[in-house]
Formats: sequence, structure tokens, C-alpha cells
Amino acid sequence: MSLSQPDLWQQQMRAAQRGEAEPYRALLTALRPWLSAYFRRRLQSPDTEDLIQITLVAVHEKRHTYDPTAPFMPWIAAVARHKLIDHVRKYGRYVHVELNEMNEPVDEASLGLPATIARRDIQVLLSQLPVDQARVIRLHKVEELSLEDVSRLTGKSVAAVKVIVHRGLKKLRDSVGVPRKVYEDE
Amino acid sequence: MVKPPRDLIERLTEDLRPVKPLSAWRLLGLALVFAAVTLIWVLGIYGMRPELSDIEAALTQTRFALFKPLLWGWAGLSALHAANALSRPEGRCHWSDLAPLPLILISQATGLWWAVAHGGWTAALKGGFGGATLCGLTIIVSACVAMRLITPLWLNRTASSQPRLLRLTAALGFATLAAAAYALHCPMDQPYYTLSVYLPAVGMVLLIEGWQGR
Repeated sequence: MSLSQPDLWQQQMRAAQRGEAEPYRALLTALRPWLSAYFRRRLQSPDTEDLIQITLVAVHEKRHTYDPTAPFMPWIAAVARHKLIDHVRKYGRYVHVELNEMNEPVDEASLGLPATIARRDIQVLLSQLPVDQARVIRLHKVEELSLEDVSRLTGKSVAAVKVIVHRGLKKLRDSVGVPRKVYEDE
Repeated sequence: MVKPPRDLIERLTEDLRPVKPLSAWRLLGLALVFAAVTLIWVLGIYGMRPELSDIEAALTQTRFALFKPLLWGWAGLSALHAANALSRPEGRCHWSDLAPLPLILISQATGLWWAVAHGGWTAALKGGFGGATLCGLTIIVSACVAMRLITPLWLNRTASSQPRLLRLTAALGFATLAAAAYALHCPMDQPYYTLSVYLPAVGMVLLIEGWQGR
């Protein structure tokens, strides 16, 4: 029986921790296009090659922090996300995370990764907000409910919902280090 | 200049060596060594509080004498559990791991309020502040020394997405374990003493380590 891609990568990472070079080479080679897609989707810049290489070096240096009993995808997604945030903080680039990526159907051909990884990114981002604020943003931006519907569900006025969404998104942008002028210009 | 990706992958895979996955046991082992050394220090130099010398009497008559070190020990192990969870890139700690400290604060503040309400401030502060300096210094010095030692042995091997929180939870763990060890010697069980001596000492450790990890 053939392994799914995440399972195969998990096995290759375990082998890498044991010092087996061949599976590790295969893993890093397979990660390149995955990282490329991950960064291109989030960074409005074609210049992602440096970021991919920095992430591959981080994978190598921190490979002992992967828990061999845990799934591999959350680990690699977290490493990539940290490198992306470092990059954004350093160069003040704009990060693009589609909040409605969560609703994309899982696509077997693309390993279902964009949707699951985006879901995790969004969970991580929203967890930085107060529960009420995160709920309002999730209802309006992820579940695409109208302001009126969110207002009805949460018992807040439409104006209050608008303010909560605006402030929440601003806070999220600040949390990933996007300079104020970048999003205020939009 | 950054080398082309193929070269990078070749460089990363040549002479690949096995690595030991980061383990919770390592942190737990360090915590046990720390607890043992602190216990030897506290019990060997300061001595055990008299009620605890007779364990049967402690279990039946002065349960708080045992409850206090157990409470601090629980806070310490919970904080180290949180530190372990935070040590990996995807790791996040659960709020319940950090709950013991606020619980201690709330319970002691409630106890102080009750004591003041029933007997006034004079009665509530009756025990005085004997041993406060020793208590504070024991917690601060031992926890800060432990943090200096675990930095190369464990902290530098982690890859947390929240390194400052990781450092603070580890510092909280060691400071509260030191408090647990000191509580085996300390006969001061009044809430005001915990609030004005133990908790500020733990807070001082967090301030120092927060400043170190900035």
C-alpha cells in the first residue's frame, strides 16, 4: 500500500533523525515545491527563493525538535510560518492569508495542504485575539456571514461588529509585523 | 551569496548525523536534579519545619504544612509541562498549565481578606516577616542559577514560536519548585506571608528572566 504524502514525509523525517541521508535528501527535495507554493500564496512577491533556502536550513538545524510520534505537517508548517514572519518583520513585506481558504475543499491532487495549512495558520492567528473578537472575525470573514447575520448571532450592533472586525484585522496585521503604512496605504 | 537549492540540499545531506529528538524526559530529569539539590540545600542547611519531622502528626494535625509544598510543587510541574509543550515550533501551552499560580494568588488573597475581615490587620499580620529575606533569596538565587544551567542543556536546543513565553514558563517552573523545597522548612503558613514573600520572589525571577530573554 502506498503512503500518502504527509505519511511519507513523516517517515522520511524519522529516518533523517536516525541519520539516513537518502530519505532526508528526498524529503528536502520534495519540500522545495511545497514551500515555494506556501510562500508564494502568502507573500505578494515572486522573490521567495531565499526564504525557501532559509527554511530548509532551519529544518536541518532544528530537525531534533520534530517529535517522531507526531504528524509532520503541523511541524513543517510552523517552521515555514516562523520564517515567513521573520522575513516580513525584516523587510516589511505584505503577508496574504486568505481567510476563506479554510472553506476550500480538500484537493487530493494538491495533498489537501493549502486548505489544512491555511486552517492552521488562521487558528494560530485568531488565537491571539480575545475570544469574542476572534468569533466575530471567524463568522464574518471565514464563514462569510453578512454583518447583519453576525450582529444577530452575537447580539452586537452592526456598527459594533464592523468596529470589532476592523480592529481585529488590524491587530492581526500588527502581530505578524506588517508596518502600519503598508496596510494603511491599501 | 545564497547557493542554488540543489547545492544546498547536497550540503545539508552530506555527513548527516543522527540527532536525538527533543525529549520531555530531559527537562523532567533536569527538574528532578534541581529539586534534589534544592532540597538538600534547604533541609541540610535550614532544616525541616518541626511539624514535618513527625509525618504522622503532619498528616493528621497540620495538613497545611504538607499542602503548601505540594501546592508549589504542582505549580512547578505544571509550568514545566507548559515549557515542554512550547519547546517545539508548533507547540502551544494549555491555559490550565499556568493556572496554579493565579489560583495560589486568588486563594491567598481570599484568605487574607477573610483574616482581616474577622480579626483586623493586626491579627492578620500576627506572624511577622521572619525568614522573609532567606525565603526570597533561596527562591531567586536557586531559580536563576537553574535557568543559567538549563539554557545550554535544554533551552538552546528548543525551537519555540514563543521563545520569551518558553523562557518565562521554565523560570516559573524552577522558581515554584524552589518555593516548594523552601516550604518544607518554612513554618509561615499565613496568606499575607505567601502574598508578600513567596509570590514577589517568584515574580522577581520572572522579571529577571523576562529581561534576560528580551
